[in-house]
Amino acid sequence: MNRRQLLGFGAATAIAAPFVALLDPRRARAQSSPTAKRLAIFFSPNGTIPHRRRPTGSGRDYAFGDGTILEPLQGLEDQLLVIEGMDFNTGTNHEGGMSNMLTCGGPTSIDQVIADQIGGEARFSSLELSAQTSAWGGSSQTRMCYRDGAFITPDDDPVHAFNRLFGVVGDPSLQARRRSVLDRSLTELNDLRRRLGKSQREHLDAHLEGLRTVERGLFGSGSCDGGRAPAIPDPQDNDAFPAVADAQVDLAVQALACGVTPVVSLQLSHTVSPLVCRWADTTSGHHELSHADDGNTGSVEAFVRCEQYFAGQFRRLVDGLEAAVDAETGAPLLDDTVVLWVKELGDSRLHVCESVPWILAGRGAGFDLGRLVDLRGDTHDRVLTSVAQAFGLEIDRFGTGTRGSLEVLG
Amino acid sequence: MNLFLMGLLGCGGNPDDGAEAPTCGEIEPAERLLRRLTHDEYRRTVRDLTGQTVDASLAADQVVEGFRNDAHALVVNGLLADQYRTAAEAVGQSFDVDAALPCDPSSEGEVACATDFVREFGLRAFRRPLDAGDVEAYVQLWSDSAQEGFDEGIRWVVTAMLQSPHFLYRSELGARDVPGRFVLTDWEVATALSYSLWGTMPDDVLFDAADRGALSSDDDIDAQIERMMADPRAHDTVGRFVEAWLDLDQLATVPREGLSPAAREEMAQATRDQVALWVEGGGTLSTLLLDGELLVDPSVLTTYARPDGSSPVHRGVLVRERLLCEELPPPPPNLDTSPPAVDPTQSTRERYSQHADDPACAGCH
Repeated sequence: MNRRQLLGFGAATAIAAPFVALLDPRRARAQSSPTAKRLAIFFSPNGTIPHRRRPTGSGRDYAFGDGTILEPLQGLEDQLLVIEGMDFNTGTNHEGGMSNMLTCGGPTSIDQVIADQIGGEARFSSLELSAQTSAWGGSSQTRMCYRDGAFITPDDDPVHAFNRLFGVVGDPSLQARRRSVLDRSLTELNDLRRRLGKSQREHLDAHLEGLRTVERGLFGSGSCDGGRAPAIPDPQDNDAFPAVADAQVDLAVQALACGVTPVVSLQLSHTVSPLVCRWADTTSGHHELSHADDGNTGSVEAFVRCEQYFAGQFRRLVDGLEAAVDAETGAPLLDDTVVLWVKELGDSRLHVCESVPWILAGRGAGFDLGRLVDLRGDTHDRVLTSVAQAFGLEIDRFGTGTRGSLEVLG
Repeated sequence: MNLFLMGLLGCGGNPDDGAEAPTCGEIEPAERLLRRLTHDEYRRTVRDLTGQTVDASLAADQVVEGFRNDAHALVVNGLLADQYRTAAEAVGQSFDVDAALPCDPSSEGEVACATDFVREFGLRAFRRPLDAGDVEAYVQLWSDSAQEGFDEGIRWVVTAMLQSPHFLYRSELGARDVPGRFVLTDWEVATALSYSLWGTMPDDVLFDAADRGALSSDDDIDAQIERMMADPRAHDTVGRFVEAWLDLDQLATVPREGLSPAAREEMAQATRDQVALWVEGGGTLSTLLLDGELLVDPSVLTTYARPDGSSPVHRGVLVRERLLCEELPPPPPNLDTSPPAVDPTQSTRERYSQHADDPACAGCH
């Protein structure tokens, strides 16, 4: 099985969309002067039921209605760019949506591409934190970050993640022991590698890369007091999900604030999620509920309550980044961070990657925030191209998309 | 069960050849491989090697057709490497040095005793004798850490060995035979047998056989297989195979009102027990399916069901994908795929009749 065959879902869908030119003349194009220093990607699963999510109004005059899925975001309207009418450039259905969401048909996801650009000095060039993504193992249903066609495995365990980020620094003699153990493993791997043919070397190369990541994490500079470690005995227990998600969101904010990493992705569950939002007064699985047809009001409202929970978690992330400050400038992190709430499907009942509802936040990209924007079928590779350009990447396309960035974002 | 080993040794035989069992006429060499231990194998190996249990979670591996032991999919990424490090440090710090030492440092000298430990523990950890270079390197590592005491040095040797590729991967690289061909060493055969049949490191009998060169002939290997198949660990292995093959670990999370985690585990254990009994009685997979009625086992029926009723669609997919090895395409987009509502006046077959009657559906269904 070829690792590079892991992607390949869906044919590229060429959608002609009217060019929407709503460039805000006050703002220069982000490409020429990158202002973004940090990226936070937030994921929640299973698409949406559009008429229970859609804000009222349009353009700058929009609002999150009471009782709708996005009600928890009330008060943040002027800080967000709510995207409607956005289709995926490629991919359809659960697996196609999940695997193309951040890759747009290419081998590497946008967070990794941006981490390669800005992550050089940090202990972790990127950090993947998650909640309950792994009971079904690694697959195109459960993973969203990719490098060269292979999944990146997120850390489902906030306790372990905290220790990696904040717990290992300190005792010099312990670090010296770790250094010699690491050196021994590296030597052995390199020796083994010499004895192997090309196809087996790929494996050891991945292992060597893994050890380099451990090495940077252990011995790189950049940390601060992480505060108290989370205490979550069983992070895979359904009912522990809120505690895990809270801990991971908070860890993401701390990691960005401390400069431990400039790129964090937060994956809450995965497509076809069996998660039961008992804390939101629902008793059925999230995927089950996402398929409720409009006539089944009980299930639709249960889905809305669970979705409101996820919106609340996104709010927690945005509020956290507003409250935390950059150690050097004293300014809120949100000033130079780009935050993106992504989903893998549009209308969950139809299994389509059309009108997939995404939300941009953070002032780091110089986007024209405070609007509800209808892309009228324009594609998500263009949104991600614009995001990448905000970090100084000189790319004019992403994945298998070819149409470049989106001026409508500002 | 000899078919197991034949597969390992790379026997030819076309699986599409109807009902004929594969035979071992011309042996086709298999790939030279390094197989990373699966997480289950890792935990069992650490337990058998050190007596300690690793509870910490390990980064989920890629699942291939329900199986988590596809050698090509088992890689060590940054997260897993760090989890191995954390686990190895914990096991090292709790390691009972006195119980494990083959010698007395105060009477034989610390360096000599450390060297003995490195050789003996190292052989069990790497599942083969260490060469002189390995021994020297680990004694040096002991020495660096032994500034804080002899025992501390031993603990760090354990910590280091548990992160070594020689521990984490089991070798199927072989020794050079004729140009372009390699033959598994007796140590590699011992390892292949123990992991295939028991999911853990070789026992003393296997290590001893490897040491004496008594794992080379078919008779030698047959004798070991006979011995090992009689052990309950082999039955557990087949049980785990069935679980992976039929994706029964989803039983833990499949939505179903009123089915507690404890009840689900009981059901899963009952299935494993049934499979184990079947194997012990000399049954085969095909008789397990037919006479053993595996497909109507409660665990299977519950996993492949909807919360409010049975699901012909899920079960059909199971049969076609896992039993017949077909790849089914997903349903076309924009299609309402919600199943027919539960209707007490109709049987399940009647409710799903649209699949067969409607020409638009019958194409796939």
